[in-house]
Amino acid sequence: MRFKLHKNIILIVLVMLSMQGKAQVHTMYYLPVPQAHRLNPATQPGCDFFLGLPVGSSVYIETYNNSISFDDLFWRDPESNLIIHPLHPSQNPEDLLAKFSKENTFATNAYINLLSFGFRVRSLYFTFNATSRLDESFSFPGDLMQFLIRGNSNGETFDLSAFGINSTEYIEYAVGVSRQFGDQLTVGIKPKLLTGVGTLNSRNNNISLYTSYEEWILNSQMEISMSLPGVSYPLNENGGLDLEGEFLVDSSISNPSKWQTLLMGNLGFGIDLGAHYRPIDELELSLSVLNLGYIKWKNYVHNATLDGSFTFDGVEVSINDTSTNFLNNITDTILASLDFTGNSNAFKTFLSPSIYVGGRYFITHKLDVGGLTRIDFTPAGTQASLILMANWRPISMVGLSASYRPFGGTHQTFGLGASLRLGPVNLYVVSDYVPTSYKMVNNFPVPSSQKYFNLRAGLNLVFGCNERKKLMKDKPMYYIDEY
Amino acid sequence: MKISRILTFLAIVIMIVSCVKDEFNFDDLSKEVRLEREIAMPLIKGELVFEDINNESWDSLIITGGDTIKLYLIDEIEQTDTLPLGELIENLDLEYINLHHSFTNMFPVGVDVHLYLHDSIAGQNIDTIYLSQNHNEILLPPAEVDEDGLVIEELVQLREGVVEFDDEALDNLMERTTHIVFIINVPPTSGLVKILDHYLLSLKLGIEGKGAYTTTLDSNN
Repeated sequence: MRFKLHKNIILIVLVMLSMQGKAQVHTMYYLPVPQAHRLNPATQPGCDFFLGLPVGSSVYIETYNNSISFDDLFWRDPESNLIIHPLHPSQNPEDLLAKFSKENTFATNAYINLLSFGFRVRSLYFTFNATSRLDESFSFPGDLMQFLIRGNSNGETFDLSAFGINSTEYIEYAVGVSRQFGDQLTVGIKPKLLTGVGTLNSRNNNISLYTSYEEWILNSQMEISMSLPGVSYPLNENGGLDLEGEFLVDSSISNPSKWQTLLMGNLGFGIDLGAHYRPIDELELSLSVLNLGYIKWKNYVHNATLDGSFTFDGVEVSINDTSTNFLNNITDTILASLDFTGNSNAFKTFLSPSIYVGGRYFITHKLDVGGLTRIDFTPAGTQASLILMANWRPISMVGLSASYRPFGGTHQTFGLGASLRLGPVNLYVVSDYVPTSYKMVNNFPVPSSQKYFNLRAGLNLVFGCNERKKLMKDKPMYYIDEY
Repeated sequence: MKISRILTFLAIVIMIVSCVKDEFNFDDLSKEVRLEREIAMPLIKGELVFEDINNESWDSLIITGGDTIKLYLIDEIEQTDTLPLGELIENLDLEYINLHHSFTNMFPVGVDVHLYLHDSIAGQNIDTIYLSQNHNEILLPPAEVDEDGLVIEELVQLREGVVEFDDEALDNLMERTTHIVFIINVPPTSGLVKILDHYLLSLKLGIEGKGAYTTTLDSNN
């Protein structure tokens, strides 16, 4: 049995679900929680065993855009005491347009832990985690906003190449092992099996629009690769997408046996690498390389290529045709000119790797300060940032971390993390973007100047955390009160 | 331990409260919107053969292959097309509009083109926009013919021009116009002309303008 699913609904859902963000909460790098091994596979949790139950043990959400915040859209006019917006008659829309860059991205990432555990065997520490990961991003060009708000003048060209969508959902099964070599060096490796659920990715976009009173010329090159579970694509005679056709969804996709086939059809592999080195007792240097890998998509695959030029030089009129509908004619003409070619070949998508290089200096065994350099390789380009950090463990059951990113203009952020251990229960919450100002909007606090938000929180069951007991058991003549 | 938890909780509450800058209630949101935009775009294009202009079927008389049709042109021939503006023009404050036009007339008769700004409520034309520079002259003169009365096609030229709407026309357009009536007019002509089946009148219109759109968003919109 099959039913029709409107193509616009698919598109909207995919856009809403989209991402490719920074996807890790760096404030957790030195926080004493088991999940810290996700940022450096060499990190060995302080407890000999931990268990992360489904969903509740670790939930990570991140959303950001690089263009506007609430404060850019709404503010109070001191004269009228009304809340106004950039398109209010008293405002200059150019002020709003200045907020948009050449490429503007809206992204959402959500990771949910399905199961995780880890245990120590002498100098080795093994971890396992299964995580559902959803990464989505949608980008649009600043010139689009210019076109929509300010309009177009004669002879003007708009660069629309920044249009793009990257949306991928997959499940990650990771087995990590970390080993201590003496007192100074710890290295870790975490190979990962990836099973893709669905993806929609655009790339190699080169789109421009020339406008004049004589003609509009749209040049567009774009490649879109997609693997949407259960979706049959409407194709034209060239094997390309037929935008006039219907996307069909196979309702049998909900059958569990079908899902097993689906998940094993889109396989990928990844790896994380890391190391900690302590040349002296007071200093620890760290390096980690995360998310090297790819997924090969084979199920319900389609690769669409748009390569064409469309010139609009007026709606064709017939003097005796009284049914002329200007807008419909334009729409029909544009749709008719979007000629896709395509194929159903398997394709690969690559993870967005990150590199962390950092170090911390132990002022006391309970307090350390340091810095972290983070380099993210995203489809939008390479982004590097410097993060200052402080970590405090006032008692063995409590860990607090703070981070501050001092450079980067709007990227200045202040992060906080806290970990609390009560018996076998370890609670933690951490965010890189703690708001520094709020507006009460309809009695609800809104971090009005924020463009970024991320949060990781969860609950672990931990055992074998009493360092004093362990040390007394192993070497009763020597004890360091460190977690 | 309990004390530290209480202190942490209090610290978070104090931090949030101390950082609150303002209180918003969206009932106070101004719903006035003003959007100032430029636009330059082609509007329409077309190629009209004799039947189009005369609004009658002459298929039986048009002979392909270069044969000619001989017509006595006595009555005025006029064809119109109407563009309803609907709500497009409402709330619009136009700064300027330039109407760019280009024509090719292969007919051995003159053709005039102009626009009526029509008020359908009052049932009258409130202004006439002439595309010709001189209102007393027709826009497109007859194509030149040879000694046999056939159009010398290599001499047929593209004629381009621009009409700038003056303040009065802009006011009429914004305040009362509900429809723009497009008129192609072949004035009364005496005598005999020869028309081949491939003769045509090509036309192309585009606009260049700037204006501001002002409206109020209410809960019903």
